[in-house]
Amino acid sequence: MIRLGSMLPQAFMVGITELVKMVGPEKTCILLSRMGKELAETQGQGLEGVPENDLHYLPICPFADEIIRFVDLFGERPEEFQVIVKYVAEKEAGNKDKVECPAMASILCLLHNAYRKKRAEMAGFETLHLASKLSIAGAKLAYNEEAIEKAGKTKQEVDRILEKGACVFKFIKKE
Amino acid sequence: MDIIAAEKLFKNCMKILKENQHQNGGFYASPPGTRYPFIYPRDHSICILGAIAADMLNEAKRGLEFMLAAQKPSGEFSQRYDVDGNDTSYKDLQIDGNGLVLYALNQYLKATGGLFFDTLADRAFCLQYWEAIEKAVDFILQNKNDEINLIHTINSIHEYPAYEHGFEIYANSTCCAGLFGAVEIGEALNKDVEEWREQAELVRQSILERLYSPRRRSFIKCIRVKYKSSDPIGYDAFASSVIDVDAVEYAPAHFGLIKETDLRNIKTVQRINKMLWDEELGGLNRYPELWDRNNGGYGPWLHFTCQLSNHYTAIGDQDMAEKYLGWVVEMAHENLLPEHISTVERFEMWLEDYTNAKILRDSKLTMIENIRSHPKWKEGFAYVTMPLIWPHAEFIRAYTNYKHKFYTD
Repeated sequence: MIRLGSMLPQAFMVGITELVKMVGPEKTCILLSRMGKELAETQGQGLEGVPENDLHYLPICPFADEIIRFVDLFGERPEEFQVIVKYVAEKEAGNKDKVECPAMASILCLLHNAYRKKRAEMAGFETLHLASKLSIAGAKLAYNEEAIEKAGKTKQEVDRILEKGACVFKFIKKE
Repeated sequence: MDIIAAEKLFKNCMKILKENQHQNGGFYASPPGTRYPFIYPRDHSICILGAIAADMLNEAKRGLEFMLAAQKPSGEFSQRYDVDGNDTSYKDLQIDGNGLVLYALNQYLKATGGLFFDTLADRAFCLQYWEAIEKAVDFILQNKNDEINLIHTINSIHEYPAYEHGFEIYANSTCCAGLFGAVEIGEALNKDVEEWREQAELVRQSILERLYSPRRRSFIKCIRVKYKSSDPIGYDAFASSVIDVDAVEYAPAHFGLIKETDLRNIKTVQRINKMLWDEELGGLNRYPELWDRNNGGYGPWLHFTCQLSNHYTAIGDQDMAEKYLGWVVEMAHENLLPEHISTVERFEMWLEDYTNAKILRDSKLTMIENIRSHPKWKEGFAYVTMPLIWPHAEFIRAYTNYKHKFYTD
């Protein structure tokens, strides 16, 4: 009975895998981004994270615990998640605005970055998502190299912050 | 109490308030370049109340303008903001901020009117922000559980969900006082606020019945309940009570929900004084040592000591008021006040606990360095977060009350 009370996040992620099967990765990605933006509008303008010089970072990924729980339940890296990650990587490769894309360590980075970006936009800031990591053994770090370059940073500088954080980003005040 | 030293401290507290108000109106929690260079609605509201007590009404107004404009679309005031009013919070709901902003706004309205309320009160300002007031009230009431008529929160004054998640006394007292404040503002503006008054009275009654323990003759800290809408709450996963002593169990009287002379309050304060007055250092601790979330070492807090002095002032107990306020004056270093004070030994104990448990965050390293390099360290004291603006505002309020009570009598 107790576990029923905490099943919703897991149901959400099962829903994502089912959605990929039903409508494919493109529409699933659109949905995740829209959800992030919609939720952002309820919260208003805001800037996430801990400031570190001219960058910001999150010490822990807010979704990590649920992702790990999901992987524990359904096995490492469900195929549908990989489909989304691959789709986004391919789409981004040909995207002239790649600098604006999320550095995607997990599918939830799509949701999260859309949320963070929208709230920063309401505050008059552009968001660059430089890198993220997932606390699962063997998981690769995700970088947006174009964003790192635009932020005027090196990968080494970003890595130093990733050692103590899960996600690195930069807010740039719009003129 | 050394009155000359107290007067010097009082004057410097006013200076500190002025110096730490950003041009956009926000009061920093601690000065730029130090530990908390953000605007926290809780600290900020107390700074506004301090400004009102110091007759700095322009500063109070600018502070209110800043905060009311920074309100979230939902009506919530976030944990903290940057100087431009952008939400930079990193913690879950702290609904006492909503209550405090409304309470401070009403205190401002009353202060602008003074003895000539009908003609002088700054109604235009409140009217300008009436929509924000309505949203702030609605947000509080959205978080009210209708089974128990209390307001649900995750964090409260200590930002410590383990002891504050549920129906917590400080959050409920501030929200209730905020609702009554909104009612008074509404009446001044000829608005229909009858429903708000009924809701505020329901919360007040519930604080007096549900958050008071007759056998202990004390208010209690919290009814732990995980979900706001658990119905019935008895089946909630967290269902339990926190009965430990906490300095904020004085909140119902501090925010005017009961009289200072009410026996429930007098007995509560006796328990707080007995169990939280620090026998080694003097001053008032905020909660029991064994809660062990004592960043920088367990020890007395300046602003809680100031807060409780108000009780002794109100009931005319000058000896105790002097004991409390005199300690604050003694602890000031160059007329500045820290967040709290500990001993070298307790500091090292905390450091050992947190290091062993592997919960010492990077951000604490700077704090540790500052504590060790402070001149008081060589005298055996750990001065933690120096200065914190909040206790300066509390001292202004408490010392002003003290002077009005004992000098003019």
